Amino acid sequence: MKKPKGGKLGIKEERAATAGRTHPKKRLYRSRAHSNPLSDMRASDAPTTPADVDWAALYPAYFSSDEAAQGSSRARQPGEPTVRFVDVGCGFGGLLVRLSPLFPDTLILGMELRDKVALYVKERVLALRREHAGQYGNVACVRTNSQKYLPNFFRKGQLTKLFFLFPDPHFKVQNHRRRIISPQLLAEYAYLLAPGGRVYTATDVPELGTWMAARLDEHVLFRRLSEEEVAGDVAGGMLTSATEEGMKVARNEGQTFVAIYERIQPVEEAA
Amino acid sequence: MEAHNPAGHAVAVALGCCIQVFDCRSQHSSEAPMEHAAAVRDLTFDPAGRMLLSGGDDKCARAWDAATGSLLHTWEAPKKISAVAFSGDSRVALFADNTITALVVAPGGRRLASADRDGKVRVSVLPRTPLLGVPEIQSFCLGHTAFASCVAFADCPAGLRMLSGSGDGTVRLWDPESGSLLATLAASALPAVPAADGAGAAAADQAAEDAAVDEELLEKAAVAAPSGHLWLYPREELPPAVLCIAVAPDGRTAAIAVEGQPELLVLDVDGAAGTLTLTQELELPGLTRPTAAAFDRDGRLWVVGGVAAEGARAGVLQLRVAVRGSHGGFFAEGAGGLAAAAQAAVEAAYTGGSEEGAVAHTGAAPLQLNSQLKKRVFSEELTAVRKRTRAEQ
Repeated sequence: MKKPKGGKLGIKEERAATAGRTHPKKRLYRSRAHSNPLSDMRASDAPTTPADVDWAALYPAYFSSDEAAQGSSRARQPGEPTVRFVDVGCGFGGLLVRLSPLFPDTLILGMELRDKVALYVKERVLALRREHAGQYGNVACVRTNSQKYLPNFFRKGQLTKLFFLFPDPHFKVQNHRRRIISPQLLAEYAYLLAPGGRVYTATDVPELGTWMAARLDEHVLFRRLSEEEVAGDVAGGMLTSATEEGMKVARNEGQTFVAIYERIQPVEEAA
Repeated sequence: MEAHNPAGHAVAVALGCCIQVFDCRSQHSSEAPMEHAAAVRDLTFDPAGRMLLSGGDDKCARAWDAATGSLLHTWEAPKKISAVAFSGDSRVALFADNTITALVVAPGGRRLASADRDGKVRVSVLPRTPLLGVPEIQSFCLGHTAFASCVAFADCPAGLRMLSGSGDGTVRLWDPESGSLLATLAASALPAVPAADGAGAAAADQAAEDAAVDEELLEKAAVAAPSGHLWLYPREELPPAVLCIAVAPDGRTAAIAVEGQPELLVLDVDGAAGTLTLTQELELPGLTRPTAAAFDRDGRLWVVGGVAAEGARAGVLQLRVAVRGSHGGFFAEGAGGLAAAAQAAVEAAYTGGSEEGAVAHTGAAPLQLNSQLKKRVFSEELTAVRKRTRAEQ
């Protein structure tokens, strides 16, 4: 879209004018780097139950047009495609875009708290689907608060991979409860993951890396992968190279701390 | 706020910051002051009836000797405590803060239910050593469209069932193992026409207060958005909330208290068929606003109601006991009953105000829970305004 002479378009106007036509420009979707997940109180982001999510709208390529027309009132079919990978705090969607061709048969969802960033990813996915016919139909993004509403989106044991890449470090002790890896939230992640499912964490903040690994180590439902297992994990190889934050850290020659854990079956307590 | 001693002859009542235990057998009330520094949010007896656990806005949980009223232990938490429970073996005190509205341990002691302000009810696997945390979630029971306010288990012959009450005015029956919803019963509905009584006035007051907040935000918005574009703040209307669910020892009968309503609803719980049926609207003489109810081991229903005035010592407190008649319905126990003395003791302890005075004084009381726990839902526009006008951290 050409800018009219004699006057610059505002960011909002330019965003509206380019949406659905070109690849979204990041500069039009700048947002604060941080957002407080505990004060985010918009119920409109949360479906009441996983059955209320209109998956056909998010992944139209995987549903018939009839199913899409029924919206969220559509009755759930057994065996219909369901999301297996979730990128919690997907940011600008770098990982989603890289994972999409690697796992073409898997539905992947990015969740992001910041409105504009989520909007960017949605536009980015739509642009990619337009530019590459038949591709990128398996990735989508929703704006929601994952610290509150993950169980509203997914059933027990539905997921096989959960990504927590370069999360907000929340350095202050009093803000540790805002961290995305915490004993309370790990119980939810264990609930959502199928046994054998994996949790991926990466950060460039050493203190946070230690903290996340310690929380996962002490949780009885998670087991850290060995070096060999990590080396054999295709998605694990993407964490530093595919994400925007990871590339930024590499550019600045920083260090990235990666830890991958597996959801294990609970050991039955002796009666 | 009230808890009933499972041993069957005492009832604990919290009004504001103070807790009192009324023993019906010895016919006296606790004399030692049982106080928190701020409002008590939840209290419960341990399964054996020897201890009382309370938690409140002073960020403390306290364990008391139920017989003497002496303080056994205090735990300090980083946030206000909103729910408390004992483990099945009485050895561990559990408490929760923040958005949790209720904590209940299931019969058998292996499941823990928690309700929250997002309307979720979570069933967790309670380990034998809960001090190491509660890492495993059994299920999420999703369906309430407003905050969940109370939970109770029903030990049915067909298996364990769970009931939950909510600000959406419904009571729901669940299979706690799978999280599947078995039945929904509408316990209250939005009033068709706003009544002009205390409750209506309270709601109007609240609406006016909210409108003032909106005005303020909109003023800021007008500065932030000089286009003069104004919007309406969509305010979610909620029916009166379900305050309390009590389930009888047989697992078949439940009693429900609804905010601001004079009757208790008695339900038949069919765990096998997965149904809830309203069997009786129980009005007890002299009980105007039931707020809490509990069954004792013999199936008698203890009900506490009344209105707390500000500062809480001066309030009106009412206690009634209902027994089941041969026809199956409940009726108020006669004057010779066990609770008559407790009733007198309870009502004598709170003589600070007449009922009319207290009701008039605390007009907001009948619908307090609703305005306290209701989630503030902001429109996209208002969220944008808040973002633009908030103070930088």
